[in-house]
Parts: sequence; structure tokens; C-alpha cells
Amino acid sequence: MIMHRTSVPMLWRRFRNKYHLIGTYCEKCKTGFYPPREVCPECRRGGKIVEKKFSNYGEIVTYTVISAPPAGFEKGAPYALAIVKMDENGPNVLGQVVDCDFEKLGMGLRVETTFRKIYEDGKEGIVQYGLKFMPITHENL
Amino acid sequence: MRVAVIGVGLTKFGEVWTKSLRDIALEAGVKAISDANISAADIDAMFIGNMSAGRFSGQEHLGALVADQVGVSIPSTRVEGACASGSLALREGLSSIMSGLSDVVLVGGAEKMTDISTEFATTGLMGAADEEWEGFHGMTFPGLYALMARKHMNDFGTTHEQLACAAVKNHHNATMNKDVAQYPFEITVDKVLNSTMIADPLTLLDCSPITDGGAAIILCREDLAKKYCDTPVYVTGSGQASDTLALHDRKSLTGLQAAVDASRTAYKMAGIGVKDVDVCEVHDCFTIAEVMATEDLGFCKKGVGGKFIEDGNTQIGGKIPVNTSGGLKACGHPVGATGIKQASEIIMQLRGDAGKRQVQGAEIGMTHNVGGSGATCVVNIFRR
Repeated sequence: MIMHRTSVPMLWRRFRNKYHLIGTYCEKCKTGFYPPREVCPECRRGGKIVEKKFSNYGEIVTYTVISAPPAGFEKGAPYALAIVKMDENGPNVLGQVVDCDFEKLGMGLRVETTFRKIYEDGKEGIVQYGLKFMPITHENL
Repeated sequence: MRVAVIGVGLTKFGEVWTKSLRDIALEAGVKAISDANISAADIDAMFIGNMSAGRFSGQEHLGALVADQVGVSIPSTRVEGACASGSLALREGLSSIMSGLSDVVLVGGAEKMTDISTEFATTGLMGAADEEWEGFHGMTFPGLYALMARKHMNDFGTTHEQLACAAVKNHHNATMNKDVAQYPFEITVDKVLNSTMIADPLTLLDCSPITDGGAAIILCREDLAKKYCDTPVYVTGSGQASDTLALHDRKSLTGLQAAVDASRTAYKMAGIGVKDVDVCEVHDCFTIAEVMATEDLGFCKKGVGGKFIEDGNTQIGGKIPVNTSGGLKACGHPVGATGIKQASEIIMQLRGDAGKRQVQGAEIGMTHNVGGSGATCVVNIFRR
């Protein structure tokens, strides 16, 4: 089966968003969007959308541990995935949680982003990178 | 104007090694045409629900494929809305008749999912979620519903035992639907809790299976229905709503707003309230989905869906029987066919043809069909 993930431009055009947690923000209703939106669902054309880099810190809203992975993620299983509410009134963001025992996962766990390999597209495809989460170890420093 | 249903056709759901996508689609269509006692020449148009034939079988252009197999040259169109594709096809059929464009329409759904490995099927199904922001991270469909289950458990005290009760009930119902159901056998709460972990907290028996299957129904102008059929059932309400493709982008993670919106539209169109519904097929792709559906549709208050099911309210003979067919869990979930299978079950119930699983005196029935993790929801209401 042909996997469409091999497309370089498809990944390249999202590098800024996926590497730096950059989304968009409506200055009128003060709502952050990740994935980025060009139209605010609340303010419609009356909204003012600007690009915004969100905080790299947040806390887990809900989580799961995947034991039956999709094609291409078999080697990493089981792995944790969580929806994280980013600080400073940031948006909810989905990502894997790494460097954390599954027993320590929980609602409200403080995490920060970390730049990691996400997926390797076979032996000849490109290696994809992006952000994952890990427990904050130095919050009070 | 109301639209009548004059025929239904279902294939045996399961891992059907001997049949291809076209065999399955044809079998369902021919059964529906025979049940309606019409000929193919009476049909003005066809709408076929299918999610992913391109990925699952390498075959696109499903409208033409079905017309080819049935041996007709009428308009035939594929409709896609992930796991809600079947109900979308039904709505296209309604639109076609209500607009005056057609008198008799075949709406069907078919999916052939077992010609590829489970990993590729899992990947293919993720096409119904947000590929760029969810699939990219290794998310799966059980994973998305596990996120909702965990939040529901945290916020409302819902237990895994309560979730399991939905699966146990649906398997029991499937034992009375042997002609169609993929898994017509009993399971227990303990078996659900102790089956293989898929996406914590959801285990294998919290999940609907990968299924081959097809379903078709014949829709007809109300005033023509009696010409073909002594016991027509009428579609009296239909609602469809959308939400964000990505789960993490939603305001609520413990319910599907699109299901709330679609059901309110359908109730209004049908001129009924939730208490008037006698039997309902809900989209239990995972046990937590059935819990949320009972809340979103209004059968019980927000947060108490687990207890509502545990107390037996949704069993046959209970306050509101849910998933008499066995649901997606035990009857099977050939994604594009599911919405039409749900409609077929309700039509059989309203005709009084549901055999051992008959809900006595059922007059109004409803289907709740969800695409993705709730980005599309269709609710259709039927009356005898």
C-alpha cells in the first residue's frame, strides 16, 4: 500500500507550526488556535487573526496509552498520547508523552514540549520530527 | 413531504473472504430491490456510502461500480463522510426525492475492510480524523475515544464496568440477529475488562470490529409507496451537523456537540421529542461512544449515561432499547454500510419483522451515525 506520508512539501510547509508550536490567535476574542485557523469561528470576518507562538508548558487534560499502533508506529508501542492545555491561556495540543512512566501519567500533570523524532517512513522515506511532551523537571529553576 | 422506505437488504457481516467489495454491494442492492418488489428499471438514482475503498481495496469510482454491477445506467453517486457515509447517502436520497428530482432511489453502503492487515486498516481509518495533527503523532481511533473515556470517567465518575455493560448488552442482542451479526455470542463484563488492552482504558471488547458488509434500502415518494408496499415506513426527520476534525480542538471532550445539534434538528423536523422514540440504533464504535450517545440524544442527563446503561434502561424491554441489532460492537462495523444497516434495523423493528429482538409496539425509531471522532453526525427519524 502506498503511504502518502512520503511527501516532503506536505511536511515542510508545517515545519514552523510543528517545530515551534506556532499557531494563530484571534486578537478580538483572545482565542488561540492549534492547528492554526485563518477564520475565527466566533468572530467570523470581524475577528483579527495573527500568528502566535504558544507557551511550551502546560498540563495534561486527558491521556491514553496506545497498545495497538497504526502502521509505522509499531516499534514505539506502547506509547502515551495526551491532550495538553498550554499555559498562558494557550490552546489544547495533542502529542506523545515521553520520558515518563505510564503510572505517573495523570490529569493535571505538568509537561513541557521536547523536540523528537516522530516517525520514520520506511528505509527510504524521510524521517519526520516534531514536538512531544515530557514531565517538567526544572519548573522552579 | 415525507419519504417512504419500501425495501431493505443486508449482507451477512463479518470477515467474508469469498466476497469482494463489488459482490457485497451487489448482494445488498439486489436484496433491497427484491424486498421492495420493484425492478431495477423503477429506480431513478443511487447513492452509495463508502469511506475508504481506495485505501482498503484500491478501488475508487464506487457509484459507477455499483451501477455496473446492478446493470443500470441511471445516476449513481458515491457519498463519503467517514463512518457516517451511509447516513449521508440516505440524506442524499431524501434530498433527491424531496426536491422532486427522483421518485424511487436506492441508497446503500458497503465496505470491504479485511483484504488488508489490521495495521493498515487502523491507519486507513485514521483518515477520518485529522491526519496532519492527530494521525501524525501515532494516534488511532481507539486512542481518540480513550481520551474521551478517560475524561468522562474523571469528570462524572463513569466506570469501566459501566462501559462494558454496553458491549455485553449489544452482544446479547446480536445473538438474536444471527443472519447479519458478525459476533452473535454472549460476553461478560469480566471478559471486557480482562481482554487485550488496545488504548488504555479501552480493551479489545470495548471496540467495534473490522468488518466486511453491505446494506441497502429503497426510498420512494410517499404517495407512490402503497403501490409497491403494504407496510411502508416513513422518514419523518433528519439532521446533520459538523464539528472540528481534530478532537483536541473541541470545547467538550465528554460528548459530541454534532450529535446534540443533529438530533435537535431531527426532533424538530419530525415534530417529536426524545420521549417519543421507541427504539434507537446508536453509533457504538466504542463503548464510551454509546454512553455519550445516550446523553447527547437526551435519553438521560449529561454524565449519567454509564449508570443509565448499567441499570438496564437500554435493554430490549427497558425504557429505550438501544442497538437491538447488536450495534457496531457485535453486529459489526463495515464503516460505509453502518448508517444504512442502522436504518434497516429500525425499519424492520417498525414493520414488526425483528423476530426475537422485536421491541413490542415500536412506532418511532431513530438512528445516530457518527463520522470520525464526532466531526460529522447524522440523526434520522423513522415512523411506521
